[in-house]
Amino acid sequence: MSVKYFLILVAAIFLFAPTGGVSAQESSPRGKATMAPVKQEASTVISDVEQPGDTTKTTQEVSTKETTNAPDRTYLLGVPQYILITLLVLMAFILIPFLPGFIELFRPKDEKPLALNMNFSKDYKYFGKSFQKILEDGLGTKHITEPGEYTLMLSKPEKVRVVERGRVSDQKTIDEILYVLADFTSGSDAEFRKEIYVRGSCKIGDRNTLRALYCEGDLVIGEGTAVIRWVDGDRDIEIKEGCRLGVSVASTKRLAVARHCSFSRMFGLPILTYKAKLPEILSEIRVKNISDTTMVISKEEIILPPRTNISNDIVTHQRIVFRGKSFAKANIKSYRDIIIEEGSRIEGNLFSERNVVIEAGCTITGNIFSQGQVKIGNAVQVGQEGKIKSVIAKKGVLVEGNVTIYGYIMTEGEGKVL
Amino acid sequence: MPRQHNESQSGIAKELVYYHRSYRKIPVPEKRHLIPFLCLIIIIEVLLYLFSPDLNYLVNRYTQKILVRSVPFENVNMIWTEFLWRSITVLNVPGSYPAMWFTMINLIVALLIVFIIPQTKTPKPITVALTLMSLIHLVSALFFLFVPDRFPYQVIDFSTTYVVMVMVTWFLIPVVYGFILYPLPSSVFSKIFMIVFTLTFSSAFNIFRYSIFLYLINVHSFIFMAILFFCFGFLLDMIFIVGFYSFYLSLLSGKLQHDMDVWQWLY
Amino acid sequence: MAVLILKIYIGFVVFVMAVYFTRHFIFSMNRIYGEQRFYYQDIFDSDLPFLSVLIPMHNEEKVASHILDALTNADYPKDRLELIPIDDHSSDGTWRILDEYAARYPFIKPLHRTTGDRGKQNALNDAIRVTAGEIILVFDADYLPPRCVLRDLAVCFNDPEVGAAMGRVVPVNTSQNLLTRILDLERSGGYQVDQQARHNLRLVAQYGGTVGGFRKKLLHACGGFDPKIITEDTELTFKLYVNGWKVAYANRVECYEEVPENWVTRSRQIRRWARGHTQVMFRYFIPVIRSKFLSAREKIDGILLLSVYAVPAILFLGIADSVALFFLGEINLLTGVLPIILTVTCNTFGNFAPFYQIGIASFLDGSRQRILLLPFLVFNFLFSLWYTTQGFLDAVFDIISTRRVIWHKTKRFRRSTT
Repeated sequence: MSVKYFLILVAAIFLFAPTGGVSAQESSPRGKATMAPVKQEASTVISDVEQPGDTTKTTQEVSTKETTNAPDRTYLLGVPQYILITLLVLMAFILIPFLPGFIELFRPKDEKPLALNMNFSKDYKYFGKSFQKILEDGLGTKHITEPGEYTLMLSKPEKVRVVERGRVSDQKTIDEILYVLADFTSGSDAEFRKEIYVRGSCKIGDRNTLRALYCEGDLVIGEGTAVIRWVDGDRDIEIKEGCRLGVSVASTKRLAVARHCSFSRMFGLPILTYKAKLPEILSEIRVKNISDTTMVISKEEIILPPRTNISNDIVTHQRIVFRGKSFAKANIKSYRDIIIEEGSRIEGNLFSERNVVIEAGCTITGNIFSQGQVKIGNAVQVGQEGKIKSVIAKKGVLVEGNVTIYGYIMTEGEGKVL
Repeated sequence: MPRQHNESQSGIAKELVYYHRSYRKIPVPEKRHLIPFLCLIIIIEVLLYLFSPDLNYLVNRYTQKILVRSVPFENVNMIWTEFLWRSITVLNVPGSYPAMWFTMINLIVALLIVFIIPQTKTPKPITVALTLMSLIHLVSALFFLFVPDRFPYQVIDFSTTYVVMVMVTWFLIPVVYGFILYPLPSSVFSKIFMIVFTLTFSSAFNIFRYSIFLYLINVHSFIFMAILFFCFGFLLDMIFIVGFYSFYLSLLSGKLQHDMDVWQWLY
Repeated sequence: MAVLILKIYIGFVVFVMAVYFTRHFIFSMNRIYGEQRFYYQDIFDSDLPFLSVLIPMHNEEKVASHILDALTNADYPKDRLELIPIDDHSSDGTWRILDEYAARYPFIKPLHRTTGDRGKQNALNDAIRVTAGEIILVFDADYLPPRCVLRDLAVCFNDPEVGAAMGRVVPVNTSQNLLTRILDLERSGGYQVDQQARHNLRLVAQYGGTVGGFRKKLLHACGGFDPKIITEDTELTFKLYVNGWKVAYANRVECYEEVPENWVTRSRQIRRWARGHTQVMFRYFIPVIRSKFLSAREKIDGILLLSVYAVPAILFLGIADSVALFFLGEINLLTGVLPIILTVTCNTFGNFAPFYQIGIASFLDGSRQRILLLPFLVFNFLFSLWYTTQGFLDAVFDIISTRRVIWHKTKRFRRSTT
């Protein structure tokens, strides 16, 4: 088909092209081109233009100078040699930016697809399970019943000390992985530079430093302890005051956290913060301003009056405030802050592009997700027994006392139990 | 989610866990780095403004040296003209109009490329590039076939345009690099070096490109002016910028991937 | 007069190029420096929606078992999941493979289409009628989803504003040849920077029709996918946005795909995408402007996104315009304007993600040597310019002639069925 079109076009051109050729008809010696009449205005030296520096030569002088030093001209394949060389150099210049690419193309070093972990599955007990698996695969720990010294091959060989039951005294430093067949206790100010695995229950003393710990039994972590990486437990975990909880703390049972602890991620069924004085949630709402009785919608915010009852999802670009003792069976999304005032109950999820504040005595049965900070007040419950819900905050979580969270709490900022 | 752990206080051996690619970023460069960088760019632009005519003259001198060995030397003239209130030089050679038979050959070759090459096993990107170039050349050939008297340019026009375009390119190089290099976490010195290197490369490259252009127009006629202008002009300079940028970024990436101080997570 | 029109058009081209340059530059800066907007993948939620996963297949015997193996390995609870591979008029062994899997797994329920029009939209429409799930996820047959993908995509629908979700597509066959490597770079730029920046800035993130999903009830309300529109994913994106819903982009939810391994297949693919996208542009240009649910920013970005496949056609015409002006003696205009056109054009050196955007994406991905291939994008740029323009013209002709659109699937290249 294309050949046909091509031939038709060529025929048309021969038929309809003007004859007689181009004007200014002196043929050049090479018979291929004719010299064009040089337009006067284009070739005139612009004499009133300032000549730079000492180069006051006129074009005539330039030509004259060149005339007296006329070089020989060698032709190769009908083309002047210098032009051929120039062409080769030009092509080399053009190839230069492609050269590293050509090397990568023909001797590739980075041609594999981006690595994806095809078996990755989000697991709040990821760290503990991985460690457990490493020990099991490397040492067959399920079958170990006697104390001893072992070597585990990780990125480098690691010493593993298996003990019957462990008791580490005050201010001791342990440089090897500990595998404890029964219970384990540490004194105060001890430092554990490698992981610990405890089959029984575990009590960590005050002001210890732990790299990572897995405990199959109950676990208590003493005051002021710093966890560098993670803690994982199969049973109840109790964290005392002032601990720094590293990357992750996870328990499949109860996780109790005292005040002044900082964290990134916690999982517990449930997570409980310290017992404090319960808040007073007044049963009567005193009418002081308009929002005590009326829904107020301004440019900046929506305020729903106390005891509001909502049964449809809400999406708003304004700050939204649920005044006290409100009830919503709905998902709430706001591009600004979400404030849930005391005693309210939200049976749904909260999503905020900014911050979420849950005041005292509220219940949120769904997830809380914030691109900013989340503040959870006294005696708040998030989630329900038998279910797992999450509190996710990009920039930080502040949690007061008497809080119950069924599931997961995570922040990429700083999490604090106040 | 993988995170970095700061363990220096405990004395526990640090094990680096790198940020996952999904949300990692680099810190915003401090504002106090922007001003000096901008100033350096402005200084380069001012220097270019002041010295580009001299650079241009140097390029033209070398081009002239090549040309006089290839075309009748009395035809190679250097002419002064003006650009941005500065005097610059351009080279002038006599141009030539294509003879009828030459125009026809060009036309047929262009048609061949447009219609026949796509049917061959030539890789498609090359076919497309050749086709686009051939379409431009086809227009040129048709023009010279039907209305050659109306061709509006002499070589001096083309030459002036070419030199001005090259100088505009020189002015654009620091600006383009300013945009694309500023965000990268590397030293100001290396960025300025890239700009200077590319300018030098461009200047050297132009000696050879200009020679070939003028030779083609002088010996093989104006019919090639359009394709030279559109296909071998600024596009090639852009390839250099992209090529050198990719080399720079590749080196930087290799250097910084395991440097935890460079990276942030989420915000 | 004609020259004036040509000059005005050049001005228009420069303006359009400058707008897109600005857009891409803002995206690049936002991605590398700006605050990243979290997706929802960290939410642990025991209340997962019932999920229907649709996999349209036409003669996919090379790849069918791979994706089914991957999805049966997913960590989504199987009692809340159904997989519906849609055998769409296949003439190879696809149907046999699907039936074998259905016999093994009760949650795999193939749909065999032997009547009605072929095509992805029709297949999806038919399948959605028989789905039980409230959330529909769609995967193309050549995809390889990791274990966590279903859960990570499903969880975002807790957000009441989210109508659809989209993950990141990662080429798996990168090492085949130059084309696959270039496409890998393009995908990187498109997802790692472009989509994520749009998600950060709360603009119009695009649902891509695979590694993504949507709420079933929304599709019912919209009347299903329009068989006349080839790119049903783009149409759904704008349908959702115009009606107030959003698309959540999940940069962390990555999935392998197969990219075309030869330029012929790629040319058909991109021409088809251009055609479909342009059809959507004609249909949704005014609704986007008039939508009361979109902010000004979203409208602007929506228009720019809609027009993105028109840009190569505009540029192509601009080049023709420049050639015309050249022969009309307007070279001086071109001297000033052409470098600007080409600067901003060559800032799109790489199809729709500019070279520096791709560079930044590769840098963020931790790639090194593949960045050296950026200069080769010039071939892809010209190639895409050519075929995208053809696709644009196809769409224009579709509207003028009201001809029927036939959907063609992309050829597969996988080498083994195991």
